[in-house]
Amino acid sequence: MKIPDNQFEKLLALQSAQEIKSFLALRSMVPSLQQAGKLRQHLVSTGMAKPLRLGIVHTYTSELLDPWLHFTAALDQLSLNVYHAPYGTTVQEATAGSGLARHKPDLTLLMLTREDLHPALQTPAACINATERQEITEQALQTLGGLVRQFRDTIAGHILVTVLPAQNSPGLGLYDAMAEQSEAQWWNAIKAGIATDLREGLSGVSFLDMDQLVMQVGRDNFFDSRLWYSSVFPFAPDGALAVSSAVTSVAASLLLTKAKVIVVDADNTLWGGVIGEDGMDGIALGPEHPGRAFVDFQKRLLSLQQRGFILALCSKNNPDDLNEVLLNHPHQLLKNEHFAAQRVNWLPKPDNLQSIAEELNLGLDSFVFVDDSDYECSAVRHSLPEVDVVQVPARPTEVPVCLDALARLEIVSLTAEDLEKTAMYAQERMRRTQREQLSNTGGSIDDYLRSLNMTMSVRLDDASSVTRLAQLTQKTNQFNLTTRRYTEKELAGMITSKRFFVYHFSLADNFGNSGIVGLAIVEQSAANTARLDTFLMSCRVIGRMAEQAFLSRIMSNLRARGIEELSADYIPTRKNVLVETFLPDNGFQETGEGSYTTRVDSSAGDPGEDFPITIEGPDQDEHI
Amino acid sequence: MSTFKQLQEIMASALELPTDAIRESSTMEEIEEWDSLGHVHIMVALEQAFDLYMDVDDFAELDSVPAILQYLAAENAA
Repeated sequence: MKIPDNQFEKLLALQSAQEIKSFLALRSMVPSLQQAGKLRQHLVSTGMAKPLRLGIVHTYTSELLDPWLHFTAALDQLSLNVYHAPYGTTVQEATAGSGLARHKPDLTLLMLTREDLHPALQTPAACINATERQEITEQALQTLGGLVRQFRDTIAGHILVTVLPAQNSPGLGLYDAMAEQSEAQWWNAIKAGIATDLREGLSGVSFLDMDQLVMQVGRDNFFDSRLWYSSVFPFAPDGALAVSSAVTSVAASLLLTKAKVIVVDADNTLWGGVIGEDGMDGIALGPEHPGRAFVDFQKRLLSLQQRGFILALCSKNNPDDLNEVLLNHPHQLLKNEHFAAQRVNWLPKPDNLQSIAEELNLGLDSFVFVDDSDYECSAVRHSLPEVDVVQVPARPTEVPVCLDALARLEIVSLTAEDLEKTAMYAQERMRRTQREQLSNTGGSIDDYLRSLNMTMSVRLDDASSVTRLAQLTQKTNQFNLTTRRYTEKELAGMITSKRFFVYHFSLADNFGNSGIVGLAIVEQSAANTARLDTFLMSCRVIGRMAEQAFLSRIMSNLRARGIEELSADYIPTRKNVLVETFLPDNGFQETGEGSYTTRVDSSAGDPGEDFPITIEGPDQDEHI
Repeated sequence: MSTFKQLQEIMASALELPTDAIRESSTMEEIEEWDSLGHVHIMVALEQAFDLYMDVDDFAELDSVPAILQYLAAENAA
């Protein structure tokens, strides 16, 4: 269904891609091909877009997706440059000189059919017995794994694997759900196998489950048998749009500045109504409409927290009123411990956002601001254009999904650190309290640091942490000497290379374990010289001397390997002024603009002794 | 808007051409961008704009602006 003309006029009046995207998502509106073209032109004329180089390897027609891909890319503030491999080629493209390799894709999309995995997956399955199924499954996984591995070895950038879902209902029809030979259950088992293989065996590869997209738009709207039989193109317009949207969302989450913090308002956002006026019994929050929509929205926010985003609260309210809801409302799901920072006061929201950014040590361009008020949304858009603003819809029924269309909230990996992030910020609040108490009784910073009982664990060339390490290079902006971004694949290459030393550390203390928060990459340039390619640290451990301790342990490790001189550079960015003097402060001599060097063997003293931190590792045999 | 004007806009958008590149007499042969992929986009866009369900066997015959206009008139779509 195309968008009615009166609504389409409204859409064209919106200025930001973000607003247009939520407008479409909230009303479940699908633009026609012509409308998508107009919207794309409108978006290109209004917004700044980041280039996206997409490569598509396909065993069915993919070129017909182009107008949809260009449209959804524009919605995600990306400008698309797409390469379609020649029809019928797959492995041929997984070579260094192929058209795909020359395209230098940021993202390679593999569009495969079940048949490509195993011919038996395209035949009636009721007669295939359990043993045969097991064999077919194993062969299918092997085929796919082998194919993806070939691309991983030859093509840079992220890889997104898709398998076209069944276009028809199962062979056994409605009985399939009950059948021992259920096709649907078999397919789910195969998908689980694909996910496990890709997650555990390959870096920088994700699986996009197209069945989810079929569920979203419905099988009848997803496929068009006319185009399938006449052009080997399976998708109806709604399906083409859903597929394109998922693909460009993955690209956006890889290419755009990562979102890290979701700052939510309280009144008419976490619940319906205004606590200061309506009181505990008056706000809409609970099992009855419209309160149920707000309970569901809070569940959605908790899921986003588990995806690794930090929640913060920013509300114009009396703190006591608001706290009463957080503590005592029977249906309030988000409690004090879920918010890494809170600003409940009457100050302008842009000021509050700035102070939250300072408290969390995170840049405002990693903020998503969620508020129902026109006034607050435009105030933040105006004073802090780097913040992504999402206005909470006025209709409660639209509230639960209001963040679903935000591509920057999609993730392509999930690490242990992501799951525990908010807990780590809560630990940080406790550290701050301890520091204030010590300071009030006359204690020094050193007393405070020693009171934490910190232990740093340094590891070298640890391939099992490659996801987290890549994430650190992608996300760390402030404490980062060179801001070089690396993919999992590139890092995996450095870890296995003899020439590179990839060090990381995690930091534990009385309050908890930080997980992996620091990374250094050293490249050996000759027998006795090396270059510090990357030195970065997550902001949540700043101010604990961890950076000096880490550098010192790296130096002693390099010294033991015969390195006598270490060069390093500082590449200034808009955000890393924090480390402008880190190198000279730590004994490096300037040799040119931003270039430094230091004698490794002249570093005085026994490293570790001067720090309020016990340092462990790396084991000498860790270097591969 | 006349049916031709509507068609002109739909085709120009589907083929990524300026509107005046589509003339009342244009045929698939004359316009380079009107290839088999472009043709499918025109058909899909026509269905959406005129609220039609088209038979895939008709696709091949609709290879010129006059043929499409005639088809739309016959379907009472205009």
